Amino acid sequence: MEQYGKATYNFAYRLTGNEPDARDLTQEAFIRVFRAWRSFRPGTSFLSWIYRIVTNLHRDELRRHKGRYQEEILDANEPQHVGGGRPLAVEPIEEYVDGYPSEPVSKALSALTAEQRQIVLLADVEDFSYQEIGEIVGCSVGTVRSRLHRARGQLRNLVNRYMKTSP
Amino acid sequence: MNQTHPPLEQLVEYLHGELAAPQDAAVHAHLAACSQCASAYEAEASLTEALRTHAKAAERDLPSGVVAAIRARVERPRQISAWENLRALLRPAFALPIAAALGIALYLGTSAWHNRPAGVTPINAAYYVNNHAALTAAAPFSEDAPIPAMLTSDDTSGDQQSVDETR
Repeated sequence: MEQYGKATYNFAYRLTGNEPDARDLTQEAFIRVFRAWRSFRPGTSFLSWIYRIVTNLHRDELRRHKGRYQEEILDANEPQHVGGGRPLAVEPIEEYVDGYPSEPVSKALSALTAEQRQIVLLADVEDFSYQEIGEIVGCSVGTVRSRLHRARGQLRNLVNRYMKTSP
Repeated sequence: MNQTHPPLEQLVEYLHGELAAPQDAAVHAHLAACSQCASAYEAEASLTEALRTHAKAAERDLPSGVVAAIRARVERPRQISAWENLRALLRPAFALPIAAALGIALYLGTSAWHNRPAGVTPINAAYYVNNHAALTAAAPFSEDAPIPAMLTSDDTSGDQQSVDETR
């Protein structure tokens, strides 16, 4: 837990955007890991396994409460509220990251659908292969490719939009 | 210079290291020669870098309460509800032997019912009284048995005479 707890919590935080939901998600994921420990196949990635549990729990939670997991992005591209009805925390970091100011990146990420955010985070932040992402989110590599391409396109447009509107 | 520009999806897959070796080499060579594609690739790479930097800047430690809560829940004996008990009984490992036992019991029960005696004739107490002699005659040579009337009657002279004639 010491080894993977922080990574899991941060992944959960990036998905949910708020601390209470991230804590709940992390707790529930590790409890499931302990209870299903025998089903873990040695030689496979533990991180992929626990991320899959986190992803499934997050998806179930959103479906249960909001029914909007796969909703397309709003026309106005306004940030959506995710994570059990609580507004997504936007914590601006007043510095530029590789040419992009951080706040537009944060706002753009939060404006993606949960499904799009998951796939972008897994590919670009967590550095999983498409095969691993497919196993985590439960879809084929081809679907990962198309979803990722679409999500990155949305993200790029949103970042550019927020960069123009930011003071 | 290769004039066929790779599509944006392929540049993203190149960025993520998802291309097969020959395709990877071809894109690599193309980017070295085509400034337009190199520019598009740089834009994708900087978006990924912005996401990573933003994630790293927003990274948090795992709250200590999370570990404690997980440990408490894992070590606490799980309360099993009545429904879970019922579900456990309905699992094939339990349900099949129970169903088989019930089936055998039902089969034997119905067989015994069909093969039962047609009916037991009630015996009146008068039967024993009226047929008492017959019952005792079943053991005619016992000491307590009464001597049959045919042996004690006077009408035996004829029989005795015929015995004498044969001598």
